[in-house]
Amino acid sequence: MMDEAFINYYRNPQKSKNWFLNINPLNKLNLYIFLALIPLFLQKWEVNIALTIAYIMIAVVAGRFKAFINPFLKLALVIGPFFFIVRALFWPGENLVYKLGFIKITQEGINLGIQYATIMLVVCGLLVLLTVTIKAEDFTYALEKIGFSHRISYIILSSLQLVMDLKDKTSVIMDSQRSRGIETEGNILFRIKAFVPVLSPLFLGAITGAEERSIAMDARAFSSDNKNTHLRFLRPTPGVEKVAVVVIDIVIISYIIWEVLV
Amino acid sequence: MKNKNVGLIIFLIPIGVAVNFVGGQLAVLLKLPLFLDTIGTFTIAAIAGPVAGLIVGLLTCLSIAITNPQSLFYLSNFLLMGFLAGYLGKKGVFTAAWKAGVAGAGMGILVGISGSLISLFLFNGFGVSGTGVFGGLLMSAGFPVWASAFISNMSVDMIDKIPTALITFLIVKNIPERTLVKLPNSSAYLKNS
Repeated sequence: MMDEAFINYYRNPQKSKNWFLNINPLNKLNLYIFLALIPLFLQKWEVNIALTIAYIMIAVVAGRFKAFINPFLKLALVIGPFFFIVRALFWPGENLVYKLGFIKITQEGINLGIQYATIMLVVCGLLVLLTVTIKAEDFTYALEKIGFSHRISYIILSSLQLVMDLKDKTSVIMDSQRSRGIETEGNILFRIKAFVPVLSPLFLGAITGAEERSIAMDARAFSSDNKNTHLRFLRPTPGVEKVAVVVIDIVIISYIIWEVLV
Repeated sequence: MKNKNVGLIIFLIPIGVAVNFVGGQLAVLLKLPLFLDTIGTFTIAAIAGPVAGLIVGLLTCLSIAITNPQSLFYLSNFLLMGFLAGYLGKKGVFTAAWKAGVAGAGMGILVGISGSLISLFLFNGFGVSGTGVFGGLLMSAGFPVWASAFISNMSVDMIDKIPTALITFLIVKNIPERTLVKLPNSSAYLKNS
């Protein structure tokens, strides 16, 4: 019974219960990037805040708010204040607000800080939204559908997988090198010396692994140029969705032109 | 033969991306005052050529952006490093420690220039990490904005890229010949070819 359910799972397009998550990944990417164009051209901090809220709303609509808000706050609460403080403290200006030793806080610096801190919120929102609403394998599937090579899919997916694998391996290698007497703590010279014995076995092992993998993949016709098949596939993009994407893009562009010119 | 080479490069690129990531984390773990997050780009470019370096740089920039969004704006730096390391690797720069050190310094300067131009035009001269604080202090000390951007970026990049190039040299030296011979830049490392 379990096996049958497992097999049937791959007979139909991969679908989520949420209508937004079912949108074609490339269309989602297009929507996010066109939205990000608005603050790029308008350069007002109010717009940046509004767009950040819009990204949060999209996460809510997609039912991924819980996955979104944690990484977003972690990033935004570090980067936003950093951009603000650096500019507020150091930017030279005329209107002095506060003076402490050689640090002069000026009105210009504060304004600039707000502008940049809020635009970084937009960037953080965009990136976190991409990671929580688009699955990497769906994205590469969509790329292949519009004519990209399956080699590109392999490079992208394998990179993501290898980051995790090598991270695990690092701690193993570090423990084993430590047990052989290499010091990983102490003064800075020791720590620099410890870097190479940890990284180079990792790297060399991975390179040898790549050779073996290339042979194994060639045996499975990876280098063949014929059209390949897919185990999991997405639904075909509905016509309504295509039209909606074009309409939204046109609306956003005409809004930007109208705002910039008028 | 040529097709085979392309095959192996495809399998090396993900390793470069992953090693960049892990190298950066290892530097944090060992509390080193360096980034060391471009070792993968350098090494893969050094053995597999400029194009592979460009792709590793591009993918690294995109994947690092998830934890470090500012790096997205420095995409050209990642690409520049991949391309330069690949080109210099072909010329045999990573065959001796002193050559690698000099090349690292040179790349540090070039990357510093491109990085400070980005900082100058996009971020009013402030770098996006510790570099920004350093540049800001220089500004308060009376340096003009452009000078503090150049000084802060170039010095930080030089200090980071010289050890990176040296580590790259050490790793490339240890790659077995039977692997190297299948890669585009092999002629630089194998004497009797």
